[in-house]
Amino acid sequence: MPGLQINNIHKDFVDKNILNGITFYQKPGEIIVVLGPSGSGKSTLLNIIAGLVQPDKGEIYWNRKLMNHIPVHERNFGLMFQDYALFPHMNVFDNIAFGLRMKRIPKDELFSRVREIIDLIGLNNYEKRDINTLSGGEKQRVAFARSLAPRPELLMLDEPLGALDRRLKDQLIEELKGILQKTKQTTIYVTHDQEEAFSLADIVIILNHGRIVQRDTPQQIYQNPSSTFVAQFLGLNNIFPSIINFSGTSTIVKTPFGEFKINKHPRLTKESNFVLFRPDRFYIGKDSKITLNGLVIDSSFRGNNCRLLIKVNQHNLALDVPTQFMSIPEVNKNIQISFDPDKTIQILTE
Amino acid sequence: MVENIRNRSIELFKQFGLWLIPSLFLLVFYFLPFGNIIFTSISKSSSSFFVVLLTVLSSQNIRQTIYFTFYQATLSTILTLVLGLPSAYLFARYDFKGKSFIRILTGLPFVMPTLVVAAAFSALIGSQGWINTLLMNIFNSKAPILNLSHTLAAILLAHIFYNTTIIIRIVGDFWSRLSPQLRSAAQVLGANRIKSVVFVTIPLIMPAILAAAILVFIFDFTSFGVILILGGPKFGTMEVEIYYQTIGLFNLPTAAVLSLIQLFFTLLLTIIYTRLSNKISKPLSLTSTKSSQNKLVSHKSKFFAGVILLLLISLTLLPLISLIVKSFVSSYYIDHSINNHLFTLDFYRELSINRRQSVTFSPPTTAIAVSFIYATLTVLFSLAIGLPAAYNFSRYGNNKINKILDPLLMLPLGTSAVTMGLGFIITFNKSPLNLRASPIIIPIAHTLIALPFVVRILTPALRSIQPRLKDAASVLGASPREVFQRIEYPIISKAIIVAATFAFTISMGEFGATALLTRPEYTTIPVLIYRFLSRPGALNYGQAMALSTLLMVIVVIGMVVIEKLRILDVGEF
Repeated sequence: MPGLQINNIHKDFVDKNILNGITFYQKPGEIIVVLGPSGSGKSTLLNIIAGLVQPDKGEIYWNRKLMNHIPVHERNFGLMFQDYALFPHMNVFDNIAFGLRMKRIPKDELFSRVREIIDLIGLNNYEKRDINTLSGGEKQRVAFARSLAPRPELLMLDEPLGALDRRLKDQLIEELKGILQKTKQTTIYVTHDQEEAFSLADIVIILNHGRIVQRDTPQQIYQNPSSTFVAQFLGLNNIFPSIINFSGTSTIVKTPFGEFKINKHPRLTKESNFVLFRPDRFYIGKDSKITLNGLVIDSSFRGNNCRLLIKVNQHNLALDVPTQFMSIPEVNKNIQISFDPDKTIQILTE
Repeated sequence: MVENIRNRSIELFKQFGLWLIPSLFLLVFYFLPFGNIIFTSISKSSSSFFVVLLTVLSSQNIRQTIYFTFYQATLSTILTLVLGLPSAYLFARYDFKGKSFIRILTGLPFVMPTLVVAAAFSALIGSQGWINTLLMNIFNSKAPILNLSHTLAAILLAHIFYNTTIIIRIVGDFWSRLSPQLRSAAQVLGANRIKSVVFVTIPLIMPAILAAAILVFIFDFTSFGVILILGGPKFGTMEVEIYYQTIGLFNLPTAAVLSLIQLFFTLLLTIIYTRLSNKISKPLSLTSTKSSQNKLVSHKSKFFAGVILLLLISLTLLPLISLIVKSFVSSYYIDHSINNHLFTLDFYRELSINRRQSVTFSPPTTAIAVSFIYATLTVLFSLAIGLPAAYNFSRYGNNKINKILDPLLMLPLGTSAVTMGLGFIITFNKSPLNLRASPIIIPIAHTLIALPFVVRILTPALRSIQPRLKDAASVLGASPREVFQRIEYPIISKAIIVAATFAFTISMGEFGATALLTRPEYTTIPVLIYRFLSRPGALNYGQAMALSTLLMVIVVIGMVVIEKLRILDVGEF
C-alpha cells in the first residue's frame, strides 16, 4: 500500500504518557484531520512522524519504507508549526525558498517555484517584506507557503489557524482546502476546533489521552459519536448513565426520563452504559412519539437556533430548536417536548 | 484660562527644577573634568596636542602598553567566550536543579570589587597561594613551584572570572527566548544538523554574541585593579599607564593624551554595542523559556552539563573560598618548624593596630570607618540626584530635554574610573572648586559612577506608579496621604533600597578613581588592600586577605539584599 502507515506508536515524556498505541493508515492524497483537546498528544504525533521526536515504540512507514531511522531532513515531509517558526532574519522570499535551497534546486527553478507558490497563496509583492512586519494572517500564509514550496510528499499542519480570529479563519480554511485539493496533497492537519476539522477532512481521527477514540468521516463522527468523550467534545451534552437490556431485535434503555425501546444499535457493546439524547432532535409540543413535561429554566438565542435548558424529572435536558417558525418559550414556564427514541437516543460507551 | 496658563507654568517650573540638579551635577563633575582633560592635552604643555601625541606614540614603552592593552583584551574576550558560550547554551536550553542559584553565583564576580578579586586570585594561584602551598608540601620544596602572580595567565583568569556572567546573561537570555522550533523548521525543510545551525541558529544569536563580546572587551580593555596587582610591573595597560603617569611621574599631559586615546576606543565600542543591543532587543520569534528548555536526560547532556557546571562553580568559588580560608590561616604553616597553630584570628586583630606608629599611616579600622562614611555619603548624593532625575524620566520621559539627558546620565558607565580621577585632579585643584584636598571629592566621584545604576533602578519603579493607580486609590476613598503611604511608598521604597544598596557596594569597592584621588589620612578599604598586597611579608599579606574577606562579605550582603528584593537583575546592562 502506498501512503502513510503508522504502527502502534508509543511515547512517554519523563513520567507522562503522551501517546499510547497509535495506529492508522492514510491513502495518498487524503486529508486526515487529527482532532483532540490540548494535551491529547496531537503535536507529539506530528513531531514523531516528522522525525523531530523519536517514538519509544512503533513504526512509521511511508510507501512501505520504514522511516524511523531516516533523519528529519531526509524524509521530505513538510511541517507547518503552530507558531509558524518563520525565520526572523530572512524576508518572505528567503523563508519560502529555504527548503528549495536545502534541496539545491537550481536558481531558475527555485525562483519560478517561489513565484508560483506566492501566486498560489496570494502574497504578491510581499517577497522583500521583513517577517516581523507581517500580520498574523500574512505570517500564516508565508508559513504555509514555506512548508508547501519543496513539494513535500506528506504535509503536516499543526494548528495552523490557532491564533487567528474567527472570520479570518473561515476565509483561510476555504483557501487552504482549495489549495490542498487542487494539488492532491497528502495532508495531516491537527486542530482542537471541530468546525475546522469537519470542513476540511476526508477522515477525522479523534485523539484523547494518547489514544485514537474514533476514526471516521466527518459526517459519521457527528452523527454517530462512539463514546461519551466524543459526544461531549462535539458539544453534545445530554449524556446520562443508563441500564441497557437487549431483547431480540430491539433494545430497552432505562434512562432518568423513563424506559424506551429502540432498534438495536450498531455500536452496542457490553460496556455501553450511557445514552445521548441528541439536542437537535427534539420538538416543542407533542407531535413526536414520546412526550415529556418540563420547566424551561434557561433559554439562549443563537441566531438560527435557540438553546433551551429544560428540567425534566430533576434532570436538565439541553435542546437546540430552530427559531424560524416558532416563538421562543419563556423561562419559568412549563412546556411539553417530544421526540422519537430511534432518532434521538444514541447509545455510548464511556 | 489664566488658571490654565498658571498651571502650565508651574508644571514647567517643576520640570525645570527636577532637571536642574542632575544636569548641574553632570556638568560640573563630568563634563568640566573631561573638557579639562582635552584642554590639558592640547594646550597645557608648551607644545601642541599633536606634538604630545607624537611624543607619546613614539615612546617604545607606551606603544608596547597600547599593544598589550589590545592584546590582553582580545585574548581575554576570546577565552571568556570559550567558557561563556557553552555555559550560555546550557542555561538557555536546559532546565536543571539549582539553576537559578548557579545563575546568581555566576553573577557574584561581577559585583566583586577588583581588589577583592585580585586578592582572591593571589590567594589561589600566587606564590603564597593555596595551589603553590600544596605543591610545595607535596614536593617538600622551599622554593615556590607554581607562581602565577605577575603573569598574563593570572590576568586572563581574573578577566574570565569577571566576565563569563556577561556572556551567560546576554547570550543565554537571548538564546533561551529563541524558539527551538526555528531549528526544527529548518530540519523539516531539509537542512541537516550542521546546516540548521549555520543558517538559522548562528545568524540569529550572532548579534547577542557580538554585543556580549564587545561589552566584555570594553571591560577588559579598561581593566585596572586586576592588571595593577595580578600583572605587576611587567604588564601595563593604558589604564595603568594613566595612573602611573599621573601619580608616579605627574606627567599630566601624557596622561591626558592617553586618556583621550582610550576614550576614543571605548566610545567607538560603546556606540557599536548600543547599536547591537538595540538590535537584540528587537522582538524575534520569541517563546516562553519553559517550552524551549529540556531536562537533562541523555548521558551526553548530563556529561556536558557536569563539565560546564564544574568549571563555572570552581572558577567562581575557588578563588573566593581560598581568600576566606587564607585570611584565617597563618602562613607559618609552610614552614614545618613552626607548624603549631594553623587557625588564627591574628590578621583580623592586627587590623586595629598601628604597628608602624606612623602618623600618615592610619590603622585599617580607620579605613573601614572611612569607607563606610564615603559609602553612606555616596548613597545620599546619588539618591538626591538620582531621584529627581528618575522622577523626571518616569513622568516626562518623552520630552526633548529628557531625551538628551537620559543617555548623558549613562555616560559615566562607559568612562574609565582612572580617567575620571585624572579629570578631577586637574580640574578641582584651584578655587572656586578647590576640592582636591577635601575628602568630599571621593564620594562625589563614587556618586558619578553609581548614578547610572541608581537612575536605571529607580526610573522603572517610578514609572510603574501610573496615575491610574493613584486615581483608583482615591476613588476607593484614600486621602492623598494614604495614597502615598499605601500605594506610592511601598512601590518606591523597595527600589530605593535596591538603588541605595547598589550605590553603597559600588562605593565600598571602587578602586580606580579612589586610587588617584585618595589622601593618606582618609584611606579606603580597597586602597589599603592594594597597599598591603604590594608590601612584602606574611603579616601584610594576611591583613590584605582579612580586609578583602571583610569587603567581600559586605558586597555579598548587598547582593543578598538586592536578590531578596528581586527588582533588578544584576545582568541588565
